[in-house]
Amino acid sequence: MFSLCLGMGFYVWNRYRARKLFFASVVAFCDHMAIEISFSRDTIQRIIAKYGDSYTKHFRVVLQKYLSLIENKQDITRERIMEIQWTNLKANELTTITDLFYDLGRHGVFEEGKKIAGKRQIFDTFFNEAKEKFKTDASIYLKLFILMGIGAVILLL
Amino acid sequence: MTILYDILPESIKEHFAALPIGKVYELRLRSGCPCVVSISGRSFFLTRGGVTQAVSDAIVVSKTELETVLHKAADYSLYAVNDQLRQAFITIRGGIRIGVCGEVVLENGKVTTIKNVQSLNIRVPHQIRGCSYQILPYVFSTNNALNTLIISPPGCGKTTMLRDIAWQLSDKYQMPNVLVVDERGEIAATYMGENQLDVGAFSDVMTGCSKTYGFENGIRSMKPDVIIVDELGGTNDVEMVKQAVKSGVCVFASVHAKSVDDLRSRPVFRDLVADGVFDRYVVLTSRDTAGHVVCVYDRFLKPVVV
Repeated sequence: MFSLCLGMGFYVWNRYRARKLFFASVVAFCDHMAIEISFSRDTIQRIIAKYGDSYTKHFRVVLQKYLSLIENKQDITRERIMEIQWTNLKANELTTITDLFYDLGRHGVFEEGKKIAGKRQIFDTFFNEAKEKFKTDASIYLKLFILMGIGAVILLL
Repeated sequence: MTILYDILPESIKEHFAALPIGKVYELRLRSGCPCVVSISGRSFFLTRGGVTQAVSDAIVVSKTELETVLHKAADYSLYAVNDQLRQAFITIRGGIRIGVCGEVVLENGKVTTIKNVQSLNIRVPHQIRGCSYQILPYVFSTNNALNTLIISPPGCGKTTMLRDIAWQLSDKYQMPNVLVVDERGEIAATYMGENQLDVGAFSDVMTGCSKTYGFENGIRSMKPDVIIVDELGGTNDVEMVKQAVKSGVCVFASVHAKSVDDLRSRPVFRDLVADGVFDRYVVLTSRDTAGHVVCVYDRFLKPVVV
């Protein structure tokens, strides 16, 4: 019973942590895109290949699914981006990230840079919120589940 | 020709499948207007499963579809082709050239890009080996190439003929050095450093630069025997050609005009003709097929062959 509660506690804690790391990756991705668009002007595929390893596993999966749309020469639509395995995101976060991926590569250098910079600010806010929540809520939940586990063990005994 | 399929939106692609893709020369997409396809020089409207001449049956292109074409054509990275976009076109694999029309964005008086695209003109290049056979006997004199100007309205095969001449000079006549000054990337269709269309094994291609730069630096660095250049336009282009000919380089060029009289009526070219810079003038039409030779004139504008 204690292990079950501990496991649940870690599951909840990990969800908060995953959100924090996910948004950190998105912010890093925006930074990488902004730099490369201004300087190397490489294609999105090349930029992702260059920085892919520096992102979290979840974000790498997302990027792979986005790249597979490109490799299969499919039209990039909002619906198709929504179909990407997004987990652990709120509705407004999902809308913003869909907009980011839908808009990628659709503008000239300056406008593309501006749009990414704008999105980066929003994702930075999401990241700070997720970081704060991880700091406060995640540890509370973990402690709560541990206490629940201990309580359950005491009751059983 | 899968490249053309690859860049089309899925909604248009399905109707395109039934067309004789090898004969598609041009595709015109305008926001909110019917899609026009040019097959072997004749224009039709794209309809469900084929083409039609009835505008009411035509497929209407949306703004989103236009953006999708451009997005896909730029390998999903429009910013990567910004330099080309500023010049209102992009060249993609296979030498396909996409002309872009929309809202020009200016910064400090300079064009930075084009946004809110309203129409696209997708031109599919054709390598027609031997299309210049007809004129070769007249543009060579005892193994020397003669300075030649190819004249025709747009879409009559000037570039296709220049491409074939480059290949013939290089491969058949084995001219030691042929320089192709390919300002808009239409002759050799260079993409990522590789020529998508064959201009011969002995040809050097300078692409993406102005003709002035190509001539000045090309002559200095590559020491060509022949220069091939497309679409002469302004005074600078004409002056460059004059200088090149004076310095002993043979020039094969093309120009937009209906006839030699039309050419002479334009002040920029009047002196060029009067000075006898070109030894031959080849007039083309698209009467039967693109690249149909109407007449070859000598430097005094006397018909050599009709």
